[in-house]
Amino acid sequence: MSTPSPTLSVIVPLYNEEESAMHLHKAIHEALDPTDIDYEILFVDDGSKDLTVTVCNKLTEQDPRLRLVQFRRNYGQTPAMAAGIDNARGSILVTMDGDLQNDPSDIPMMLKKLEEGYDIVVGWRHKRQDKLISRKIPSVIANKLIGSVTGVPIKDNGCSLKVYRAEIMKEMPFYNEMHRFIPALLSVSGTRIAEVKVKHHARQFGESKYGLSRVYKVLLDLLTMKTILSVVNQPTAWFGKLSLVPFMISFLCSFFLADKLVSGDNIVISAAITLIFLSFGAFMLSLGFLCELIYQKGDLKINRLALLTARVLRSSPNTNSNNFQQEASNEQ
Amino acid sequence: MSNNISVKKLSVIVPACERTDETGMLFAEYKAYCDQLSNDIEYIYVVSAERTELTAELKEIQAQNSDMKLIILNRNYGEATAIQAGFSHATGDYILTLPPYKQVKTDELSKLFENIGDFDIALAKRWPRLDSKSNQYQTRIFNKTLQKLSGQKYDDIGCGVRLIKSEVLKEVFMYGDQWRFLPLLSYQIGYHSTEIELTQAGEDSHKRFYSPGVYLRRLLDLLTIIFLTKFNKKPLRFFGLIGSSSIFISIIGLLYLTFEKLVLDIGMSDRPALVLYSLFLVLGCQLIAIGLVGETVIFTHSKDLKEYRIKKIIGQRD
Repeated sequence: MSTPSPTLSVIVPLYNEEESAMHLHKAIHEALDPTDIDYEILFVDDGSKDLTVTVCNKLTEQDPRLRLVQFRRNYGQTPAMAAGIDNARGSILVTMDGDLQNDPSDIPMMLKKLEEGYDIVVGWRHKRQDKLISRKIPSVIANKLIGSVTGVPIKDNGCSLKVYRAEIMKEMPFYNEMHRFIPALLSVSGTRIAEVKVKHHARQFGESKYGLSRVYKVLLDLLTMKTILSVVNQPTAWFGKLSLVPFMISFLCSFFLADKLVSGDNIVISAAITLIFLSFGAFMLSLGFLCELIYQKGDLKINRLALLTARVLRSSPNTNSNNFQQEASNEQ
Repeated sequence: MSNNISVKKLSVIVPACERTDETGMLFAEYKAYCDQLSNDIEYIYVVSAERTELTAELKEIQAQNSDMKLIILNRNYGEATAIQAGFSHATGDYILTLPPYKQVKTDELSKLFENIGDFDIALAKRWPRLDSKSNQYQTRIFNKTLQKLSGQKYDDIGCGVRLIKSEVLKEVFMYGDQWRFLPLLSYQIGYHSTEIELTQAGEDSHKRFYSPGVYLRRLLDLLTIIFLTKFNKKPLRFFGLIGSSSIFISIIGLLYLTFEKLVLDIGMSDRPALVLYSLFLVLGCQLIAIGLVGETVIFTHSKDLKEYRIKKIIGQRD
């Protein structure tokens, strides 16, 4: 039976998944019942317009481990995950897709990986059952790009099947469409990330809910990620770096200006361009200071996050109940 | 009539902020009708102290009516703030807001109660309309623009007659002139609105033309509300769109200048067009940078910004 404080919380956002919900519920039980883990399942209904809620309601009546978090309206995948994370009671969290593309039978293997001393284990759908042109190729490019920009090389950022330590995930800001950037986001707090191969099934029910149109959005989000990751580490530095570009252009233009001055030509155009870029550089630099202020007044503090992933070695016998953490710290 | 209406306690809020007509008579008319709607009813008038005559008149009315509360704000903060001030003294399960001038026929107000159903807000839509075509066009244009920009369809968002469940006003945050946008703001926190047709009052049908400043303010309000509801947690999507279009223009322009320089050998450095395109480039980059600062604000302050609203949690309890 489930207790008020289970070890593991399985979080599944559902949006119009009336057919999948029942199968998924069964699959999770089949995967986790043989293990001796105390777990709970959290279904988050993201304002579905079909019978998802009715189906899940029936399931909650039969299954004491299952809870359904019902939204007032459709908010999107990341908010649904965030609601699951906020309401989860386990010390370890699992997130996965509600459309049966992930296989819950991978969870025990990922838990083992987590116990090796990682804070987050992400799935990698190495045999993706998707269309090559519209899904796989864009995905490879996107993952390469995300890896090189954020400095966290993950092969499959789009895979929802992930296992985390709850305390870190509950501390992280998580909104918009950040579910694509969880590893990069968590890297702020010095998280140890492992990537394991997981199974992937083709969609059985319903329509795929994405399209190629999200490229532009992903690019903007990536720029956002880069900025917020940089700002959290060194608020002034990022905009300081960016301001170097216009300052350089301005500097180069000033040579043209000097040249025109010497030769006695009309200097108006080159002077204007020099000044435009000079002021742009100053603008960017001042935004850097503004960010320093914003960060200082904000509620996200890197010092607190750092402690979450830190390992404390003590000579006296530790009362920490978290065994795997202990072992891992001994290894290092 | 009150048989099919199941309202336990009703609070009627009237924000007497801007335009007002014959306040005393209107209150008597509202009261005569609304008293039949619920056994337990209170009237709350909110007025700005700057309107000395109106305040004096309302004070007199209040002295004669024990079921009326009068809230006097020290200055005019706008209708939204007035409604919120009134609400903080309201005790009803349902709030009926009425404008301080007649917009709809009073004896049709019960339609709101009959048709609210499972919705959280019932908005009155003035229909059929008795006023001039030009007034109707103004309403149409405003609502169509709103629909285009927000993706939500309302036919008469300017009508102040609304029946609202009190939990909506408890949760929604609005200020200044945002009162008309209540349905959009409350949709964001998961409350749904419906529009119900009420016949327009004859008194509302005189021709309305405002000063250009009023229209400009409306437009700014509209843009603000779109920014707040659609790009609430993604400022870069908003600034990025404008910024990248500006950069796009500048890149096209600069490429053309380069082409002329390389192929036609027209010198680049003495052309004003170069300054123009550089300005576009810089403007675009600055807009994007501002968007990024916005994103930083959201990220570092996101602890208390909850994006979702839960209807209920079904299943095991502790």
